Amino acid sequence: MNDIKIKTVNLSKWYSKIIGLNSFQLDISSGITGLVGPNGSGKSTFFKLAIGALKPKTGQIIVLGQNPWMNQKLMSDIGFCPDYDSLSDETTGKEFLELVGGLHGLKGINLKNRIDETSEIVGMKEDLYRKIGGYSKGMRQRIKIAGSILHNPKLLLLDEPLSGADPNVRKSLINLIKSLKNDLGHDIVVSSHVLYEIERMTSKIALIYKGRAIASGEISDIRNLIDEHPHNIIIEGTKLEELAKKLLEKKYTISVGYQENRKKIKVQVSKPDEFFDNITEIITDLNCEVTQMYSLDDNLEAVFNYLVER
Amino acid sequence: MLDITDNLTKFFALIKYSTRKILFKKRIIIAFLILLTVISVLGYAGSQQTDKLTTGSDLLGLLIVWFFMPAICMIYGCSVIRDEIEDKSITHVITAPINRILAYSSYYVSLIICLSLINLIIFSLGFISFFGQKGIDSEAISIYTTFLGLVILGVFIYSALFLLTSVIFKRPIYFGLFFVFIWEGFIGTIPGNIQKISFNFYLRSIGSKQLEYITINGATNVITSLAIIFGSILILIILGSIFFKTKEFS
Amino acid sequence: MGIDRIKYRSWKGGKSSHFRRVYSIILNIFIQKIKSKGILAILIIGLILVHAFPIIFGALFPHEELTPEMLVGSSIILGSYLKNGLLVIFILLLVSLVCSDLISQDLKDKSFVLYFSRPIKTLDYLIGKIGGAIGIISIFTFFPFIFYCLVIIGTQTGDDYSGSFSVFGKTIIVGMLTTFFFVSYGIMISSLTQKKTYAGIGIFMSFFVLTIVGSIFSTFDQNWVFISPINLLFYSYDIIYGIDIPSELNSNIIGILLFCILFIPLVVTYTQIYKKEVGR
Repeated sequence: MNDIKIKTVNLSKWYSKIIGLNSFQLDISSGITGLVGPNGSGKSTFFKLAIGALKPKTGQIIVLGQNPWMNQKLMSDIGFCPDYDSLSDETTGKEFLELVGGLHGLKGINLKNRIDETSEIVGMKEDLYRKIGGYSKGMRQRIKIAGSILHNPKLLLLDEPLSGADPNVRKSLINLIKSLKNDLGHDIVVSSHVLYEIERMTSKIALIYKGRAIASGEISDIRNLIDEHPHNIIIEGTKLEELAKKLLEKKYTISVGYQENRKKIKVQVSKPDEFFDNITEIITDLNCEVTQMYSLDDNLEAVFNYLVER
Repeated sequence: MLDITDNLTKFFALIKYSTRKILFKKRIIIAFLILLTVISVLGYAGSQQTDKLTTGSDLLGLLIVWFFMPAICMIYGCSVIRDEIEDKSITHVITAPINRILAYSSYYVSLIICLSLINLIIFSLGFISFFGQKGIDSEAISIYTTFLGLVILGVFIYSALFLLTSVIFKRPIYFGLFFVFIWEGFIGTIPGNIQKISFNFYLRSIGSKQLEYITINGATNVITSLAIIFGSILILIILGSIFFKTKEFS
Repeated sequence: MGIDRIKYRSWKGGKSSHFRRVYSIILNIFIQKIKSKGILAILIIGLILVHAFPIIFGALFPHEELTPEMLVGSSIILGSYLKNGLLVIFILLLVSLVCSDLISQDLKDKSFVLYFSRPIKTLDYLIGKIGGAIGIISIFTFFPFIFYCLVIIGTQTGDDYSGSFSVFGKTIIVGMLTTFFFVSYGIMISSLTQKKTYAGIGIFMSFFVLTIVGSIFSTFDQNWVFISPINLLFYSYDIIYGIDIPSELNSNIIGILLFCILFIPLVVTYTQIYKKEVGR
């Protein structure tokens, strides 16, 4: 219980007709927790409620044991890196960090040393005196992260820190985030709509969909859910009728149907693992030619649909 | 004690940042254009054969005190907080452990520092470009000090008003245009009690008691005018602080 | 399956649907602006305060025919219909709201990439933008004037319609001049900045500043009064209606300044947009 960093109880937030969060229930403990959900699922709304930028309509959110709304003192323990571009183009990186440090009560030699340390950590030391307007996307993300760790907070909230970054920058940012936990001991909540990116940072995730927390736990458990729920697989090739008959004999096959003028079949299976283990043998026995085979459900959207319908 | 020092550090950090943003953004070109206009107009007027004191005070009043000063306060006041909300750089203020009332106050302080400086330069150079050609005597100095006092008072009250509107309205500049050009510029000059609902009236009242060249019907006494102005400043700052404190930033 | 081959048709030399493209820009702006609550509010309040009363009183007040004095003269009850400070303020508010983001928003969003990746030239783009703005602003600065004239003519007691229709024809010119006067200026200011709020302020403030400067300078020389765009416009009305202007004023200056204020802003705007089209 003491390990819980963020706790929500029936948390709801809506903007006139748009629902941001809907009876959101989630406990986030220490370590790195990934918040995964498609665009518009409520990740940013959750972060804004956690930093006290928004007030809940109903329910409660507790961050580090306190209510964040109108609680500016709590902000000294939280570092926030927003997903949107919140930097003024005309200020330099140093001026930005001086502002953030000053707002957290740092001054003089302490501030200077801390700016040097954090810019070193994020790899921005050489670019501090350049205007932010001249920074690349990756540099902007880094300086924002520097701003969020400047005051050495207990909890870091990183909202889509990898969005818009190219693969090299993503890799370095992922390593940075991991080192913030492993080397510096910050508890981190990081959001993304891409599961495999979160996988590279942590094994603990929470899934958000349409304003609700629909699952949380280890990634391996979520992966098992993907594998356990019925899969739809498309097969294209020759001798499809015989293949269909053979598949219908199997216990894991729920249904088989023709698609597109009988050029494809769609097979719905309850145990995709078993299906994929056996299909090669079936194809070989029937001597049929398969030109294409793919799963419609091997993605996060399908998991969300499955979990919501359950 | 530590708390006070801590809060002062945060207060001055935001003032420093905000002041730098106001003075060194491209928007300063507007102030520069206004300065050029003032110098040209007053310089040309100064070269003409006119009564020095009457014309000088009319021009300084008409051009700077009753027009450009409120307009400059509107342009800057309406954008200090609103621009930060629009470009979301306000995130770093609202996620800092600084009391929002203190944060709002620091925006106000930075605004009045910058606007006082800008208006001081414009007014002083405008004064010199007219009176410099006619001769600066004790009466001219009296005009300078009176009008400068009104300019600074005006900066305080208009900054408070427009800073409040920048928190409340999404497009505060349209309210500002209406207020400066129609409300203050038009209603503030209608004779009768109706003009008492404008700040322009109280500034003119103070000025009319100091200088014979500023005339206004039904002027209130200096103490009353100052009380209303400072009272309004206080109310506007308090209101602005409350709105800023309870505002949601989506 | 394979990919469908793009069928090539050689260009025969004629541009098709050219006017349709310009029309779509005009229509897009008109619909966008008419849906704006601020613009609708200004239009409705302005039409009631500025146009409704003169039209009603003009119809009720006995009159033999439509005369220029009924438009630019000063009546005891309502003052002047066209030479009216309130009319100018509403026009300025409307122009600020309509024109301030016409070009500035495209500068900010870099929408020129979208426009000029189509077969649209700078002039087409400019005509489209001006056309859209004129469409909205003429609701306030052209059609009410026409309606006023028609109401006065319709309720006149005299038989001389030729005089009335002559004034009506001049009022059409006045309406077009007023609309174009403000739109060309407004669109120029919009092309000079990426921020629509600055453009809005610029339109408003420049008119007021020039009016104040004009009033100051006219104490030294009467002809300085023309530096105020509003006075320039009002004296133009007098000339169009054949009313004598004060002898100390030089009417040639009106012509020169009108030409400048109507066409120089368009040249400036065209240059600004052309620079974007060629990628500068």
